Amino acid sequence: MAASVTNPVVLTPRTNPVRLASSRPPTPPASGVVRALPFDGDDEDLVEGVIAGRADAASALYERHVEAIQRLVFRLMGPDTELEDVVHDIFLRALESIPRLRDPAALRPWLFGIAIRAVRIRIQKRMRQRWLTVMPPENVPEVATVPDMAMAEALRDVYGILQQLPVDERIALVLHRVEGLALEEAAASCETSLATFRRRLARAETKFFARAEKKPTLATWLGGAVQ
Amino acid sequence: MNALDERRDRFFHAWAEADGSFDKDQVRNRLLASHRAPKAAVSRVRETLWFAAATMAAAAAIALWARPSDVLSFTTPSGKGEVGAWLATDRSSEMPIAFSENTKVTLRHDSRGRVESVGQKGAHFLIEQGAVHAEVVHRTNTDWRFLAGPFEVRVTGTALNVAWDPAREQLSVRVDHGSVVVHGPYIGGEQVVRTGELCLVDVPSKSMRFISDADSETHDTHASDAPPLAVAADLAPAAHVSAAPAIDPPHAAPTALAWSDLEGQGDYEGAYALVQRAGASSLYRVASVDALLELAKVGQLSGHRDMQRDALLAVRRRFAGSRQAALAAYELGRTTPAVEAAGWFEAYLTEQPAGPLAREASGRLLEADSLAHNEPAAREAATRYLARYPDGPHAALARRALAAQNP
Repeated sequence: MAASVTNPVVLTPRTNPVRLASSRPPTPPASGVVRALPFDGDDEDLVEGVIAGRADAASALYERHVEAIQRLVFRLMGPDTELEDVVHDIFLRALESIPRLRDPAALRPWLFGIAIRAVRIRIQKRMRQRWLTVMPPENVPEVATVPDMAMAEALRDVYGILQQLPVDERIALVLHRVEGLALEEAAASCETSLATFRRRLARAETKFFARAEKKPTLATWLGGAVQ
Repeated sequence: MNALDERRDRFFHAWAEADGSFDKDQVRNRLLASHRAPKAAVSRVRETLWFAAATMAAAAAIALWARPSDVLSFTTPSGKGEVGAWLATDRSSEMPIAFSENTKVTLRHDSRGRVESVGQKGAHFLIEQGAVHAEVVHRTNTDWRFLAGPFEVRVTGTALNVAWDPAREQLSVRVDHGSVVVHGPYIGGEQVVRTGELCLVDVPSKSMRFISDADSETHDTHASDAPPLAVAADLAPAAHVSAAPAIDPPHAAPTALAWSDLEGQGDYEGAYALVQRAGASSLYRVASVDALLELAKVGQLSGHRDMQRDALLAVRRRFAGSRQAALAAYELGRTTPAVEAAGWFEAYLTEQPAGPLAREASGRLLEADSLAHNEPAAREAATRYLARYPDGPHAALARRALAAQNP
């Protein structure tokens, strides 16, 4: 290695994206953080407010439902770098199509329906695209918050198994077993008949439990062996 | 319900309790900005006024930030110091350098260096050869660095001695008070040096010695091969350096491997902790492009967005022109504020105009320009988007952006 003085610019480099887009018009400063405004009223009022163009209603709709939607998406997709994108797209689609919501009191199930469609599309798209690596089951990421380490390891295997299930079966299993939706409610969210949903769920459970029994982390939870 | 059913129910209940990393505020801001894109004429006037006010406020803030008086200055025995000017001492003299925030740097005898840059919160001092003693005043977000060959010593408030011998390629850092972080090769990535400790690095033998005053304990990465370190003589007390026994390396290569093992197992928190211990900065300099992208993923999924950003920037810097560099630009666009994001999406589209993410990047560019209230750019992005993807998922937003200019 030659004796040389390293240029400190190399030691603390920062790429300036503006240089990469020099032909762009000058960019104004950031608009800052958008805060949720207080909104009184139930979901029907929220829907009316959004349709009327009230900014506080859109913000309140997000605040009121984002946790449930984010958890649903997380349960369906598992740890994923696109989690925030999916949630964003769900709410954007909801805000744009809310005038078509027939029953404003059913806002939450309607949002669930949009979320399920969005996740289904995302998973199917991912399966088609070569540039996205499909992780082998043993490499499925660990979740951020779990009750304990044994559960963390178990969930890693769970998402590995889910990746191998057809997307509609995966959704059926999560909606009913994890999300806790009643069969009728889950079927409605999937926009399918109760009979069809039952069949999907039955297939999903059969495959899931069969594969889980082969996983040491899951066998004691889900397999036939008694602890 | 039998025992198996009960166990399964408990499992699904526990599964439901798990949660993932989610930046609620970032999604809300992006969502509301996108949703606000169609605007009535009145709201556009109000927004224009708001934007003008915000621009003026930002300009005032920038002017305040950039005031020359806020940037450190320094003096030498010859008078006011000049950034970039070489400073040198002979065998019989030392040079005190006083900075305006009361940090004192002494260029030791027979040394040569320069103040490379100054900022509001510190300065970068380049040691070409020889040694310096520094007493750095601690402040919030202090950014004091000493650069020596391939090494960088970051200081947050401490009294320390740094020596660099370019002929032998040997670095020595001794901390009298406080702590510093040394970045560079052959030290396992990043080495924290605390009060009473001495870190010696010998580049030709790829070795490091780590000596503590408290227990006279030496850690040596390649003790049997390492020659005596000449630079240690510059830093008193160094008498026990050559006599110190060697033990197992504290920061050997397996540490650097372990993070990727944990990453491969999906343990992102664990991987992050090991990366920090091994020295993230050094990994950014030496890791392969694939490893850097994995580091970015570790940063994102462990909730440490700064690491994600730094790793992606390293890909951009070190592998410019590659497919992965374009992907890094796209990922940077996804995770940065709108004003910056637009530039990254543009970069992706410039480098990979027909790449697999081109449509999404085009839409994201439009979103970012709308979010940043950069209406000329948003219209341009909208026009380009509709020309290429008239039925794409951002087509509605694009049409609204174009319609907004002709209410």
